[in-house]
Formats: sequence, C-alpha cells, structure tokens
Amino acid sequence: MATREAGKKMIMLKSPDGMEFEVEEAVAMESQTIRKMIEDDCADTAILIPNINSKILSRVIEYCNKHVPTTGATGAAASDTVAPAALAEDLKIWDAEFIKVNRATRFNLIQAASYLNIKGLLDLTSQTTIDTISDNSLEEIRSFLSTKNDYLPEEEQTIRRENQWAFQ
Amino acid sequence: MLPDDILTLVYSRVASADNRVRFAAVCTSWRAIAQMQPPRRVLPWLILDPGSNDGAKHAYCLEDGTILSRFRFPSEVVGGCIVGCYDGGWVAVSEAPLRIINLFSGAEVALSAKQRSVIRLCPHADDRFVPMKVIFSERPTSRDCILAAIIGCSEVAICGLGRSKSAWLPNIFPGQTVMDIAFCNGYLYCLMSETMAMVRFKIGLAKHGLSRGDPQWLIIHDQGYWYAANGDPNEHAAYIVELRGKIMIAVRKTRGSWWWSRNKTLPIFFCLELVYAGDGTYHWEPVKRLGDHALFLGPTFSKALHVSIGEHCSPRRNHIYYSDHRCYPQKKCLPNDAKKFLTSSNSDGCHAYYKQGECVDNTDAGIMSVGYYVSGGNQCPPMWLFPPDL
Repeated sequence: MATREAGKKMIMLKSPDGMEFEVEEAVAMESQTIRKMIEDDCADTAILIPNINSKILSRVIEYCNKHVPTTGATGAAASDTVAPAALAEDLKIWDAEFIKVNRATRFNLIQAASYLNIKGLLDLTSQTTIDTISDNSLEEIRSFLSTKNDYLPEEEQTIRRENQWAFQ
Repeated sequence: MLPDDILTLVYSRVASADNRVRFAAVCTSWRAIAQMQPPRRVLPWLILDPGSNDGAKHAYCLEDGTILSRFRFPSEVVGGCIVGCYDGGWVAVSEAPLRIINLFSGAEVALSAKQRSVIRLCPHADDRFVPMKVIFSERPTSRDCILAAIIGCSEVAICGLGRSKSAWLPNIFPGQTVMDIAFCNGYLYCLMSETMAMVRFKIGLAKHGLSRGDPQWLIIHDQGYWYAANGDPNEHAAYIVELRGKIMIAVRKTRGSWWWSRNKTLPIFFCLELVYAGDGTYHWEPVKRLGDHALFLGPTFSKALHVSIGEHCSPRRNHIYYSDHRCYPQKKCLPNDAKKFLTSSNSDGCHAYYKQGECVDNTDAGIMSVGYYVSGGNQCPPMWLFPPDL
C-alpha cells in the first residue's frame, strides 16, 4: 500500500490496458463499487477495473477528484473555506465543461459510472441523452442518436394518437 | 446505436412522464426497454388553464417544478367544464350531457340515456343536467363504480356508473347548501355550508342499480367550528377528504379579511377529524399532522395522497396543496408574498400564476400548506390531475 502524504491513504487502480492510477482512497471511494471492495478488505494491492480503458478511467478519476470534497469525504477541507452555494455553482460549471465530449466517450462514461456505481457521474452523463429526448421531435431524436425508426407507419400513428399529449 | 444496457440506465433516469412516452416511441427496441421496467407512479399535476378554448393547458408538475407545455386535452374536452377527476387521468366533463373521458388515452366511458339525465327535485330547476361536482367511488371502467354529484345548491344524486340501467337517485336538503361530498366505508358523506352539518347515506350496489339508505344527520358535539360565510368562495371553502378510512374536513379561513382589501392576511386551514364519541354521536377532533399523507384540495377535486419517503422532495408529506377558487383580476389581490412561476398568454388574455407557502399552525411539526393562484382573465381556476402510471 502506497502512502504519499501523511494521513492520506492511497490506492492503486488498474485498467485492463495496463495503466495504473494512484488515487487517494477517499477519491476512489466516490465509487460505491470500490468503496465496498475496500470495506470488505478486498483491496490490499491494486484494484483491477475491468472493461474500462485507461482513457475513460482517467476521466472518471478526474470527476471523482473534483467531486470528493463536497460529498463530505474524509481529509478534504476545501468546503470549509468556500461558501457551499458558490462551490455548488463552481461544480456545475465544471460538470458542464466535463461533459463536453463526443457521443462514444459519453456512452463509455455512462457504462463506467454504472459499473463503478457513481451516482453523480451517472446522472450527469445520462442527462445529455435525456435532454435530447426532451427537447426534440421524434425524427430529430432518431437522427441525433442514430436510431432507425422501425415502427410501421400505422403503428407510429397509433402511438402518436394515443399519447397525443406527449408529442405536440 | 446505443447498447441496451446504456438505454436501460438512461430510461430509468428519465424523470418526467412525457419523456418516458417519447422514449418508447423512438423505435421498437427502445419500446422493449421501456416495457421491461414497471410503470412509475406519476405525482399529481396542476392543470393551470383547464378552461381555455385552445389546447394549451400548461400542466405544472409538482414533482420537479416544471411546466409540461406539450400537454393538451383531447379535443372533446377543450372548452368543457371539468367537474370531477379520478386517478389515472379520468375527468367528468359537465357540458350537458355529462361525459367521462380519460385525458391521456382519450378513452370514454359510455353513459346510458338514463345516466345522462336526472330528475331534479328542486322546483324551477334547470332541466339540463349540469352537475357542479362529480366524485367516483372507484375506477370509472369498473362495473362497481358509483358516481355521486352535487347537482344544485342543496341537491346531491348518486348513480351506478357500471350499471347502465341505473338512473340518478336525487336527494334534496331544503334550506341547506352542500359544500362537498365524499365516499368513505360504504357511505356517501355530504358537508353542509355554514353549519358544518354532516349527512350520510349508506350506499350499496344491487344487480341493476344502487341501494341507498335513508339520510342520516350526524349528531356532532362541539360544533364550535362553524363560521359565517361572506360570499367569498374561498372564505367558505371546506373539503371532505377520506384519510386512512376516516372522514376529515379541511376548512380554509382567511382570518376575516376581505379578499379585495390591500391589507390581506394569510389564509389558513384547520383540519378536523370526525370521531365517533359513543351513543350515536360524534365530535370534531383537530388534526395536527397528516403523517405520511399530503392533501390536494381544489374546487372540483380533493384527495389525500400517500407520499412515500423515497419520492422526490415535492409534493411533501404533511402538506396541503390547494388551488384557489378564483381567478383574480390583479396581482394586488393576491397574498403579498405569493411568487410568480409562470406567465402565459392565450386567446383569453394573459395569465400569471403564483404560489405561496404558509404554515397552517405554528407548531414545529405542524401542517404546511402551499397555495396556487392565478391572476388575469376570467376563466376556470387551476385544477389537480392525477395522471396514470407511466
């Protein structure tokens, strides 16, 4: 077990493509999956994170690093000095920048957030897709999300008629 | 193409019902993903402009504080006067003849000729059957559903909706004004204005219609809660609600101030439970908490809703949500601290919608209330709608 600074326990995360990331335990524990591993003492040496490549894993760690102090993890003191409202606003701006990625990366992040069980990241990454569904016509949703309409014309008509209230 | 596991994750996070419907309409595989998850309870909406002559109704979704601007009524309901609601999006529309329509699916429960008219007991009453309020004992599509209606100032009537041969059975209370009606444990309760007297009938289903017991005026001690009405519909607003199998009334008071006076005081509610006191008598017991329930009160619809702790922060337990009975000409007629949350324009003019929270009483865990008001225009006030699970 590596220890970089006094009082800060470090943990090693390994991606399947062989990269290693040393992170503070508190940061890694933003992931409920990793938290459980640590609490169950299954994390003596490095933790292998399957299915998440180093590019995505580094972004996930970046997210956790940014979000760790506000969720009250141990050892982080930034929230003591900054007003909570200002901090929340800062995080929102940071999140908006963070999610400016291409679609493939976003979907990989959703999968990673789901596997690692990081609720905030899952909410953030799903929201862009939900916004697309909310803000566009059916035709636009299909084209933006590269989905082919395989409803028969009469089927689609029925759906639209029976759920008129959701489409106009 | 999105992998199914991502789509499932995304779908489970779609908070608003209209977006879930849109999700399922994208393609058949998205529909399959939506159908794998059980439908979710949709918390009540406030329809801000139910009486407008165009389709735009502005459904205000309490759960996330958003306006569902896409929400429209089916064309049969536009311009009609809605006098009752039932869970799952059902409404009773009182443009003679009475119609019962689902605002979401557009389905209609057909009424027989007998069910579309009523023999009035009140002399000189208008022959057209235009009920002022309609309540349902259960889902309108059920054969056992009973309708009850306030059909005039002092008249109520009941009808077996699932029994096509069942005609409306009217009852008149001369000299009384019926304020509200509610079903509870096989009885229909009627609350009278001013005196707060309570009448009930035992109601049962027969093969082809209904059976109705004789009206029973309840003997209620400590009637000290009665109050004088002054012609303001809000001033004497009182609602009967069934809460955990018991009859409760919520009475709104404006602490004696006239609604048009500039120096307004806040309206408050008091809640009373009808408690059996032995020897065939009852008394009113003040209710200090609603527990895990919230009340939704409005001119045509009142209901106690169980709010589970896991649900979003709004609507909240132990709260009363009410829709004011009047459309105010100007903002200055509203409580001073009411906050505007929407302005909209349609063919009837411009309307602004306000809400305001207040304490019902001043104890720590006391009931809170949130009022919804509209200013501008001269139309129907907002109404509650309980959408189907989606």
